Amino acid sequence: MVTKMESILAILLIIAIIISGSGLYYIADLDSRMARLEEAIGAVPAPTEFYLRFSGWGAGATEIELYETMLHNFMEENPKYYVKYEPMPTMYHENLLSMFGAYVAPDVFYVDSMWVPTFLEKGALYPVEELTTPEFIDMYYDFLLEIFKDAEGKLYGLPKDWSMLFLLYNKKLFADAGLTEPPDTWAKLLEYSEKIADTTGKPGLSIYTGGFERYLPVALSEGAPKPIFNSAADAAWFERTDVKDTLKWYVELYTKGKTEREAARLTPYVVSPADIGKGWLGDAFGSESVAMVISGNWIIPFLADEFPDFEFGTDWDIAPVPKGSWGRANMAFTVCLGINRYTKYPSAAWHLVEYLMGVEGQKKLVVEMGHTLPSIEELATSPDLWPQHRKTLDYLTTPGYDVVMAWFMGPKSGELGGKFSTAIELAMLGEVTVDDALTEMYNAVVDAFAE
Amino acid sequence: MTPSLFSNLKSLFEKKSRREAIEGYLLIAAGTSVILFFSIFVMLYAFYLSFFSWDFLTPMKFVGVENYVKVFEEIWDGICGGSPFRTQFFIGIKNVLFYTAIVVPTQTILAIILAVFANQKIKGISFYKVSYFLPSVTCSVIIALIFVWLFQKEGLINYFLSSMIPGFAPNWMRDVHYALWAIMLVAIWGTSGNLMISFLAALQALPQEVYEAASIDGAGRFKKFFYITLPLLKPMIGYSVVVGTIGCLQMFDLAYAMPGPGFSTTTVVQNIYNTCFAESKVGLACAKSFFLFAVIFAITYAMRRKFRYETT
Amino acid sequence: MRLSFRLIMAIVGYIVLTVVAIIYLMPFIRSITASFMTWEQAQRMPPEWIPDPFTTRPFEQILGLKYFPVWLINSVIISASIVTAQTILASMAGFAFARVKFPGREMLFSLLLATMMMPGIVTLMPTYALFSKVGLIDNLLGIIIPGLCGASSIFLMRQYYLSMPQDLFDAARVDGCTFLKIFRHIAFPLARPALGALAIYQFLGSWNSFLGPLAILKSIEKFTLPVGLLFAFNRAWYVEYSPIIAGSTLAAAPTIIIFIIFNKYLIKGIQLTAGKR
Repeated sequence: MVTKMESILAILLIIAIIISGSGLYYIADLDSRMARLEEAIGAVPAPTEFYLRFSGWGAGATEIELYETMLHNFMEENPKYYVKYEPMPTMYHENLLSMFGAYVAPDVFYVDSMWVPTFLEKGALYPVEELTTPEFIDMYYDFLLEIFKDAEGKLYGLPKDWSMLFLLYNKKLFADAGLTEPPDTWAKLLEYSEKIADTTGKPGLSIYTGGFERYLPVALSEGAPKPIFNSAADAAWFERTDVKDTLKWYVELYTKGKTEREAARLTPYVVSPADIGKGWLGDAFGSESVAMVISGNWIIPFLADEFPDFEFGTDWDIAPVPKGSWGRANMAFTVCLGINRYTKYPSAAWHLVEYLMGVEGQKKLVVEMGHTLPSIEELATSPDLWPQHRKTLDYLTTPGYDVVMAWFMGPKSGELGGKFSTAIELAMLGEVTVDDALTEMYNAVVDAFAE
Repeated sequence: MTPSLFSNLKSLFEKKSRREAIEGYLLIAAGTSVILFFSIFVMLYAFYLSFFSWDFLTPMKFVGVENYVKVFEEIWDGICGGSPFRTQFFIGIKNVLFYTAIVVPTQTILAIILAVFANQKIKGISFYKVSYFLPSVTCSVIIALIFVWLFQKEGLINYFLSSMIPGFAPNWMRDVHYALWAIMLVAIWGTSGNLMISFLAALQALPQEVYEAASIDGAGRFKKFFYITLPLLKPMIGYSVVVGTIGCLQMFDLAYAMPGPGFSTTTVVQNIYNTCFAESKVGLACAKSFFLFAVIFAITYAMRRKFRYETT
Repeated sequence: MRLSFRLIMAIVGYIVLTVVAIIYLMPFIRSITASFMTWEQAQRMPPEWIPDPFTTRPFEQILGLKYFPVWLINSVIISASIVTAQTILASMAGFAFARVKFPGREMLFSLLLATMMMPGIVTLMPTYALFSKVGLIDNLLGIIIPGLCGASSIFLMRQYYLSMPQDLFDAARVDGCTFLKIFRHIAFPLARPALGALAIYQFLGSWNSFLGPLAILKSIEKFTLPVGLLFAFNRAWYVEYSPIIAGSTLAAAPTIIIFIIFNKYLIKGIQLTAGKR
């Protein structure tokens, strides 16, 4: 009666029982088991007093490695601490908020400038002023600090670093197309992209479909004011002619540069990274699939790490964001390290934050490891700052930006940013007209303040 | 159902049956309570939540039927052609209905055709069975990750397609007109083989006498297929259409792992998931999920009447 | 005439079945071969099928990710616990629903069958809300507990016990055995084929499940394989796609191997339940 199959099944069942039994043990004690596992492989000393969980979005292996190194050093210097690094999945902020409801939110976590108001509204952040001195806070750029304050001016987080946009161009492809200089105006950017596509057979420019924050420099450089939405009435921003014209221009980069060119069986001069099978702009540029991208400082360690043979200065270079008829505009992106309002160990959490983004921490993580730009003013002059980053900083003085907008659009920033980008994406893909997209964005602002 | 309940109650007075009943309850206790708790009880809890405004964090606020009103407003707005940003739930329903309308008939017909071909004396039939079944035992998210790659503009699928239809090489996952179709192809690929095995089993169980009688009457092969085989398969077809429809209406994994641009692949469950876990509007999400439940229930009920197959 | 028609049908049948089989197998063959290729070769069109040079780098990359083994362990724990619990609980309940008479049996059984129609999302959200209050969010137990028993498993086991001859149980009853004893000594051991089918179904179901783990497991080292792989893909951890393909192949391997060994049980399970609901 007992066949071979059945005895195999019986054995499998027994194995399953053993595994699940040990599994239950594993779950019951997961955190300390993880710690012991890491201890066994020599990663960290045994946890003692302060157990902290630290979360970020961990974009790419490079960033995860940088943070793991930093945390490893922190735990070595502070044997009483055990910090678990938990990079989190897509929809980072949304997931983080839902973790608060389930009492499983980490103790220290990234909050993007756009999402700070939402986190404040839910009472998720610890007021950091209570944990530190005014002298410490004064070290940071004021324009970055502003974002992390509530209506009363109370500070809830310190910027861990910051980044700006700039143009990256491939010198080889430029030479092949007979170009010597990077484009300095938006019109030239378009002209060069087309020329590169026609002569080299590679797209000149890569942009994201969507990406409201990438479009903003165009609008601002043509004279539009910063879009800050404090009430439904501020939706009027989308009725401005300069906004309408620039959005149309930006969307047409893609509809004309990609869709129409492909329909005419020509090399597209604008593509999105996904169109050419790349994960993001860094990938598209580093693999030399496109000649130009406009990206931020976070792209620099990625290029150095993933494309070591593609050398800064000889193979590629950077240039300021092109200017418009009104002037030159840029965006500043920043992220704070927030502390969980309900953390068990506020001062221990602060100690970690201080380590990661204080003078010493930023010197290592941001300056030496080349992560992004330091948010502490005095470090901007550090001789260890990577030359690529240095160059982007220098553009602040020559040629200089007439406006640098911190990526923040008022109390509803988080939800509006996503909606605006989707509207632009749909317009680029030809699903809606530019006018429809503008109406959608207008309505999104009205809706956000209606509730 | 009722008479047996009554007679069972009556027989409780007999000692032996009482003992049997106790043993019966003991045997089902653990399993049944888990199922009832995580279905009926939590459903009632969801129903309770659907009358509140709650974000997991701040205290719950009773809002009456406001959540349901919002659901119907959104659907009405969608029918009237409102902005896609305000009517994502409606878009989800629309996408999913379209998806179901394509996937369910295609996979059923394909499965029947394959089963008919396989229902002859074929050597190596187990090889075919295994290869058809393989897609349905593989995790849909993992399948999606592989298909995202195969569906690239310069990918394998376009390579074969453009060799058959010159010049046809859509950028599947980046094109609003093709993304949902790509997901449909994956879904059909994933389930039709599984269904084919069921149909093959049903075909092999059909009474041979009917066919012999028909042969004597001089019925041709196609006549036999349409007038005997298909009617006899009707319960099986009904079953697979209903189960397939329930599954398709709840599609989530593939749409989540192979997202198309904009709202082109948004599904109802995806929208409910986002409402609950991204926007933290628990009450509204619960109301939406009951609406979906009602839709599924209505469609299933209508189909059951249409196909009139037996329940147990 | 008759013979030739049969021959044509057989030939057409072979052609159709083979072409479709190739279509069904293509993605598997493609991803397995691509896992051993350099990314550059895997991307080449027209497609190449023999890895040249042969490389295991994609596997090294995905296994070098320190979380991958953790995801694998998590998936194994969840599946093993669910399979164990389901085979025991569902066969107990299935036996009782088939062979033991107790008041309310039919009503309860119909209720169980009705729960199968409920969309997963309807129960996921309140379960999440409840679990968030008792610390089962971001905990593997939060996935295991709702999976301890399933209505479809009870249904399958009940169908199987109904198909067994009644005399088997009657004889034991005459000898004065209790139903619990009958279950332990007769019904459970005799149900091996159905238990096999059930175990495989539950293994596939729990190994492949996505929506529940996605919502309930929050931190990276609690992820299951599907959630983790999708995460690695979405976060663009790799410039090349081949580690994701290699990881997908690895994650799919247990289900495929188990299916190839045990496919008879699975098909048996389908025959037991198909069209009988």
